[in-house]
Amino acid sequence: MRQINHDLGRDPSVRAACIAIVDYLAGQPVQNLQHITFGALGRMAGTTSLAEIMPAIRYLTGAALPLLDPQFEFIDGEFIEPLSTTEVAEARGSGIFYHPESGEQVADFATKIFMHFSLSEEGKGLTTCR
Amino acid sequence: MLQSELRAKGLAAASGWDGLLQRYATLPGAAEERNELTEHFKDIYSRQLFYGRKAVSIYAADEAVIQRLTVGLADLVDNTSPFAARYPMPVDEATLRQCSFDPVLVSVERDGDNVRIISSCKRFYKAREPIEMSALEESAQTALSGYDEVFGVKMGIVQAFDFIVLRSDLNRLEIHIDLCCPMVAEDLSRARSWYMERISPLIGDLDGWSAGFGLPKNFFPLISTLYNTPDGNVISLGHATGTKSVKEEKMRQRSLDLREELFHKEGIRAIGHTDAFSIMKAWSVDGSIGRPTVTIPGHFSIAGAINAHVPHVIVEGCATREDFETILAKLN
Repeated sequence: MRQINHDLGRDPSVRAACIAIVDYLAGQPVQNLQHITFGALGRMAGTTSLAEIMPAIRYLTGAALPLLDPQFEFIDGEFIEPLSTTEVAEARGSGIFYHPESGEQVADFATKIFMHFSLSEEGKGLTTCR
Repeated sequence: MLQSELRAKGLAAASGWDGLLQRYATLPGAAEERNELTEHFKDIYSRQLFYGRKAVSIYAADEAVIQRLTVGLADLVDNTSPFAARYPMPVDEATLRQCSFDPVLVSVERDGDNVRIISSCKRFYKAREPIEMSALEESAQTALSGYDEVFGVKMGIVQAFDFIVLRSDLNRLEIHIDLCCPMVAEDLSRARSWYMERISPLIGDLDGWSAGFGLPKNFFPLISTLYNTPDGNVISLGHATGTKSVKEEKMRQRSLDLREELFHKEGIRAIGHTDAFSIMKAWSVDGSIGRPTVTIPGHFSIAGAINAHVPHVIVEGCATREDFETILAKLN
């Protein structure tokens, strides 16, 4: 909390959102925080606005206080496949993505890659253990 | 719904409309009694036409827009089409095969202060059904003996009745797509877009209308509202957990409430919160023989998304206008 107050002293709304999120995470068992959505983070911070929650997410995934790790999944119908950050970056850079199951090129892959968050090792240190 | 209607009148049930008409055509009885039955069947048909299973989308539209659309859409009615000639009844299959897939406006009707424009079209569908191996000839069974399950794809055409409803009382336009055959989200989006692309130009140069209709009402935020509002009963809920699972829970009977089911309650209590992506909820309406139900459909990929958009709801189980309006009122 000290670090948040130090880093975000001049941005009270982002500071408040980060504190609310960290407060919530600290009170939860680790197993409940394996798949954290944008909506869940918004709920923790008391907002339904992506524009309002993004600065807090950037801070909590950034170098200063990396409590959250971004995660990616390819979802096509009922098929779900986790993707690494490197795989996503390569697909975005090249504009080409191959279906993990069929091997076929996926034309509209950008609409089928979804992001969520998990606790980083540092983040896990915050939570209750059950 | 047909079976419920027949049971409510103390009439013998039948299998679908064809079965019903065949069964009652052979029943003995006075002409007056048969005429009364015929009128009753017409009433059931008419109510199902308007309030049967529909995908409903809603757009904001003020009085000036509604007035322009009332005139503009009436001018687009094609009284020469086979659909208009037979309305409200469907055309026969041979005629249907000759018709285009494009919708045709066939009638304009007043419903109190509101206006309903009826559109009809041929709709193509593809349905995938399991095939019982034991029903096949021996040679086919042998050829398919290496398979655990066999499915067939049935393709067909059906006549749909869609509605454009202009609601002066609520300052909005509703598109009701007839779910008379299987339709996925993309089919519904195409059907809705077809109508909106023809409706939008009718507004013309109305003051303050440069931005157009925009997106239809987003029903995604209503999923949690419907779940948390204690009335009615939640029949099913699709939700995803922070423990990396995707759940699609459903009660076996539509009169039961998932929120009271032990497994569901204890699960929610154990992890505190889940991200819902779909819901089906029903209400009992006094005097109704149906159980009006609304589904906000969604895929698990939108669970927990802040900007998710669900542009339609599915309304079913309605026998009357009152049932249908009860559901729409829950979505305001």
